[in-house]
Amino acid sequence: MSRLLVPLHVQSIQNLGKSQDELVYHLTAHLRMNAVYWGLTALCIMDHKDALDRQEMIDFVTSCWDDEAGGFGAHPDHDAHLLSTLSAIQILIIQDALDCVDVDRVVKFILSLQQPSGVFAGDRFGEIDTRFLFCAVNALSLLGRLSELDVEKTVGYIVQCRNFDGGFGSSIGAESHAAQVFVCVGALAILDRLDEVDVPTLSWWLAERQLPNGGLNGRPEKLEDVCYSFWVLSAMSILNKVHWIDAEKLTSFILSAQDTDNGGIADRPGDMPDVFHTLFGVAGLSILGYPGLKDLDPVYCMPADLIERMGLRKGWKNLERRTS
Amino acid sequence: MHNVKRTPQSKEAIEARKQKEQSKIREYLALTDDILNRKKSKDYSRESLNKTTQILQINPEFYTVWNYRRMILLNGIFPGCSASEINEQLSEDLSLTTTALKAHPKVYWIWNHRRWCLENVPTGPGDAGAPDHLGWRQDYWKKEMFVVEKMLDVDARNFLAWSYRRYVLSSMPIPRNPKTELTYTKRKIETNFSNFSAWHQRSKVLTSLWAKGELDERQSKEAEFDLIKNAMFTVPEDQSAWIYHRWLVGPGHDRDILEREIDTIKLLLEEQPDSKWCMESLVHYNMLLIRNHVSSVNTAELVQECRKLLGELRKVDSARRERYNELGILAPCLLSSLKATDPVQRKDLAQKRDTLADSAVSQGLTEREGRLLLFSDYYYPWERRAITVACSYRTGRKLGAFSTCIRQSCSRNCKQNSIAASVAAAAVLRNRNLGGLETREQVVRDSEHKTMEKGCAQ
Ligand SMILES: [Zn+2]
Repeated sequence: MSRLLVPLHVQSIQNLGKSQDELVYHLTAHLRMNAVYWGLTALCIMDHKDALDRQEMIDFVTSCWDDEAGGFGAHPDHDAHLLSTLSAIQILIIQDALDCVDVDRVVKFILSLQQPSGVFAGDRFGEIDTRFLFCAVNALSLLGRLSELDVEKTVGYIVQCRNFDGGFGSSIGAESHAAQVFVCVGALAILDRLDEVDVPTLSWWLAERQLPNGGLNGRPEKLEDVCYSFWVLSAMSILNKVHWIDAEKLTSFILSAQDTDNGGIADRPGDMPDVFHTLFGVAGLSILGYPGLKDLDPVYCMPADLIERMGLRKGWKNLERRTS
Repeated sequence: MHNVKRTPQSKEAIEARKQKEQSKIREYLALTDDILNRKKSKDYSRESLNKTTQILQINPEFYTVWNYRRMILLNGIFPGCSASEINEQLSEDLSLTTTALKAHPKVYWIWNHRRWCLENVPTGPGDAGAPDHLGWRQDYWKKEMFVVEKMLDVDARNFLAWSYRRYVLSSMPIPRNPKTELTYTKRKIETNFSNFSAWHQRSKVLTSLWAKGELDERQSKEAEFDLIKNAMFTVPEDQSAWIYHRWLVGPGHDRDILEREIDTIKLLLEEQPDSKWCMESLVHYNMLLIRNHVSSVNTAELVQECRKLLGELRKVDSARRERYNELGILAPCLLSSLKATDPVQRKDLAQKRDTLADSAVSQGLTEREGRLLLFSDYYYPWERRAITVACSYRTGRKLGAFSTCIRQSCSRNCKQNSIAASVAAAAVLRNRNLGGLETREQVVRDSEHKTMEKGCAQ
């Protein structure tokens, strides 16, 4: 079986910031904050946290502050949004630099986006999605301000998104989708309300995401994709069911999606790699106990030791780290 | 990035491409800067609107520009427009998104702008009271159904399009007969049995029609069983049908249906002796028979059959062998615990609590078996809640978290949760005892104390 090409992946992440001579770099500016978080977390899991310059990163994050809204945009001069605000907070916490944020204002921004139904809008333009609900819950928890959230209302919305297959959708009535399962189960875990999960049914549905080639899909009868290694596995870890799938086959599938020339992991073998799939591939491997990697907290998708130190660890269970 | 093939390129080819891109990058960045500067200076002119059109055609994911565009429309364009001019502008915006969606069917921001447009269509063309007062709106919503069906023709699993479809259905000024959605999903399903999105939608529509009493549940369920049987026999390896079938059968209170479906599946299994889904479903439905009809079925035989099927499943579906192992332990455990706590005889809830707690911790199960039993789906929701509390306690390490969970449960449903708390307490004991930290009595006392505190003890 091939190995995880750590030095090559580290290098590919370092190169991300240096590709300003490529059009795609500029066309993805609206994802920059998320990309920095993806890259940094992947580096942490590969134990190369210092491969990117800390101060430069903090400066970038603070330059994305949207003072009118009181949150972070994805890029300087882009509008604040919950997606980029969560990434900004995650980066600053990993870099131990939360002191450069006006936490009160961020909390106010986040809370202002909760709708009467309990779900959150991503920004003031009002698109709603359980993804944004997770961003809000996660960020408030990381900021130690969960006590200001109306938990009953929030959980009430999640419960309405639960389907007969045990999974969750993006909004009431929507089909179960592994990424939405992760955000809903993750939010319930943070809120200590996993009692709302139909554990046996959902665990069954999650285990059935594995395809004969070892990869995981996000919905029944769809193609495998490396990013589901995280969405599916994180939920399984929270439900203590990672052993319900074939870890060895999934490990080989993730490794086979590596770009062995330039580093990075793609959605599936032979495709173009990107930092999103690099993180979620590495994250999946960490949950599967791949040797040499650091532990990942599947609830927050951040380094486990950091979350543990903050006193936020929940009852998840990854596979034991292998030595070889 | 999804579905972009990696084509190995020579260094020279990469350089050449980069060179070619330089002028495009300069143009794009100049346009971006121009727009973001206009946005900063709150320039809501027609010229700025045109600039946003230009950049969104290149990059429809630039959410800040969509936001800015809406600000321009609301603050700069609409105030000087008649209703019919606003209507024309929105129609232009809708075609902008239609074009964008053809190339980028999974970009949230585009769908999002579309919704915004529809929500801002003015009343008219007629005045209040005139028959065509809502004419514009009705025309748009009718068109939306057509647009979303086109999108679903191209990709029948596009979950953004399905979400949008539900949004359109629930927003139309004159609601469609919900039964037409049954026709639509049936058409989608018959084109492709693997289309779980359509099965899902169907389950939602049926549930809602049953709840409103607009459709006879028993009768229409029988029709569904026919439809699903067709799918199961046509593509027995396709999980969509089996998941839907499990929903139709439900918790298994109806013994006749359970046994009939078991017989049907056995028939299919004879044709397809290796069918994983046949075997997996048989295990599930057999367990439901044990769970719900313990006193009227031959439980020993059913357990024996489950064990045999699970043994086969470990072979034909080895990726999930651990799950089958656990279900294999569960079946006999379930039986013994049900015999100890026959639901018919459990009238007294307090007694139920004690029996359950006992069966969870002290009927000679190993720790692993106890855990599996507690995690099974053969308990009532409140019991499961208790189990989850136990789980979060066991793995969360902190007594504080445990107490919080119990308190939260207590505030929700008094009687059941005081029992839940006690069951949870009892259930975690095995682990606590293993760690030599606390005795069973202490934990039970603590949980009951917490329960009392809330005034919830019954
Ligand atoms: Zn992916």
